[in-house]
Amino acid sequence: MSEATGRTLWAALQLLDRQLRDRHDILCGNVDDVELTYDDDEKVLYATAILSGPGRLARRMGRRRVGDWLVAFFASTTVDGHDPSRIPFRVVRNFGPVIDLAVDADDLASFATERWVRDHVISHIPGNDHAAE
Amino acid sequence: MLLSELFATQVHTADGRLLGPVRDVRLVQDGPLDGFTAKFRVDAIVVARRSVGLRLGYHHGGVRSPWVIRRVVTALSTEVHTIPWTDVADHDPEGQRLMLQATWKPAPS
Amino acid sequence: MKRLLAVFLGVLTAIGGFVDIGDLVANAATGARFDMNLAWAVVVGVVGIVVYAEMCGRVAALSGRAVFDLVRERLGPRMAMANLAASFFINLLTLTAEIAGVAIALSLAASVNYLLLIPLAAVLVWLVIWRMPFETMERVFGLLGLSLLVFAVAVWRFGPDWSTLFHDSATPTVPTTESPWTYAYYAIALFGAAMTPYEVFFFSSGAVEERWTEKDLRINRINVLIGFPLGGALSLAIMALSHLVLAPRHIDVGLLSQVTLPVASVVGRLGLAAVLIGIFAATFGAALETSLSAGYIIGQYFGWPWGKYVRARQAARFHLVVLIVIVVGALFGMTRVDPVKVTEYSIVLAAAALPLTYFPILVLANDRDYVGEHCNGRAMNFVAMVYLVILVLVSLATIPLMIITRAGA
Repeated sequence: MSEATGRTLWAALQLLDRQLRDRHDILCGNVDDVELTYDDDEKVLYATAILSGPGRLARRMGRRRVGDWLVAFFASTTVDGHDPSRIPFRVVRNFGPVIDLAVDADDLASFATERWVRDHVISHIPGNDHAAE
Repeated sequence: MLLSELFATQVHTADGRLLGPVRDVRLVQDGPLDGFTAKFRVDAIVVARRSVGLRLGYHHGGVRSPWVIRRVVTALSTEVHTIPWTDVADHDPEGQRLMLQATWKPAPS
Repeated sequence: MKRLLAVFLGVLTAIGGFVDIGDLVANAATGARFDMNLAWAVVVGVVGIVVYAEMCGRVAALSGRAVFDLVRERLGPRMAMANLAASFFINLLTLTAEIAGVAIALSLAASVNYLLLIPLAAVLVWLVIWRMPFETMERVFGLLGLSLLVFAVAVWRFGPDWSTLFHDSATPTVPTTESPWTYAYYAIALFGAAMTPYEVFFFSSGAVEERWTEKDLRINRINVLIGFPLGGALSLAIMALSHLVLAPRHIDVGLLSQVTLPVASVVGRLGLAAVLIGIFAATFGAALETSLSAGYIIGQYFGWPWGKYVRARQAARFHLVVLIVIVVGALFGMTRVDPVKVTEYSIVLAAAALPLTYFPILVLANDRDYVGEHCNGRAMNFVAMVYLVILVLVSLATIPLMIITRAGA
């Protein structure tokens, strides 16, 4: 778990476009945007979630309709309809040069195409299971 | 609201002067607990009309060298203001405008 | 002792891996046309790549991150995307040239039209990427590339007047038969051939693949400081041989086979065999590097798992991109596009695109958050800044020169 309290972060310098890594050290996308939420008084603004996925990046780069459509699309593919491009801050283990998450890459929108290509293309090529290492 | 939307928001002083869009946001983890971790609160915003080199770290990122690049980047940028969130009077997300308190004054250079 | 051997092997690999089809064509063509009057451009290019590669390697080792990953983080997604598009396109051109080069090397040995061998070359390149371990791949093709030392042997065998050779190189002039614009254009081509961007993407990603740390910095510096200049010397040997053998006969280099002519005429059958092995290794090695680089830069920009060090099925999109670029490169090559022309375009455009990736790396090498205490010193920053200026000037001059000289005609 990351430090429980007291940390200071600059969003543009230390959060945005940083590499994300899941709990098995698998690279799983970048911080494409950040969700900000007002508290009930509309006075204090909190950063509540990291947003990552093709729709989020598209939206940030100006393609709002395409972006929103993609976000909705990937949300519709989850079992309970939650948004897999939304990664709540409480799930972040470490805000380092790479941001470590306590979740699995498979749960994230940015990994959806990876799974698809793996299952529909790469797994059909013999030898895909050992590291050429 | 999205951070990218905040970065498209223009900041004005109480008397109507345009300072520029939000360029960066300082988050401090001193909010109420969300699970085991405290929430990240927006503590301050960095505002500048033109901000060459801000993302490269030449302003608040601690990069000092090469000095030629730092000089060029500083010369190309306009004034950069770091404004505490408490000095924000009004935020209009639809109109993408942020208005500061009348009491806010730019830091002496 | 074991350490020494590792260092020695590393340097040899760097030398053998330095020359690719761009260096072969650029140096041979320039030697035939401008004699040694552009030797200085190779020297400037070699110093440049030494500086660039050292900074890149240092940043990769200390931050554990590769170039495009960091380019997006520091420049933002928009600028990095423009950067990505340009780099990817040039990479594709280079890959087309390298695959064609492999096919030509094979065709010179087998007397079959090279166009028929392009599919074979593409399949071999892909197979090696798919199955051969990263380090083995580097070693094998790097060491095989040392066969190109036959160019140096040929120059020595030819027995030129060494003092004249050095004097000509040190006092460059624009030949009266050539315009200064064409001279400048070829200088840019040589520069781009020495400072290839894909080399840097590959080098930096390789450093992360091999999990370099602070301890590897010294070895990296030795490889770069010794290996690259010696590779540059090899390039100059190619230029010198062209100047000694082809220029007096007014033979211009328009075909890859003409690059082999001088060696065959001076060293004979054995020399020809060596140069063919060398060209095969150099182009094959470069084809491997450029295809992997295509995967690296796209994967790093989008945050995908990438690299050969994980199972293929764990870096599926990366491997798909690599496969697709190899296929596209092969198909483009088979449209009978002139491989020498494609090579020339790729190195010149690569030179023009250099500032895009050089600049963020220079800044990162100065950012303690990434390199800790191994920040650029003042001397390093001075040289690095001089090169930034050179790169920007080259970049601005490239397209106009290309138009004025009709691509070096």
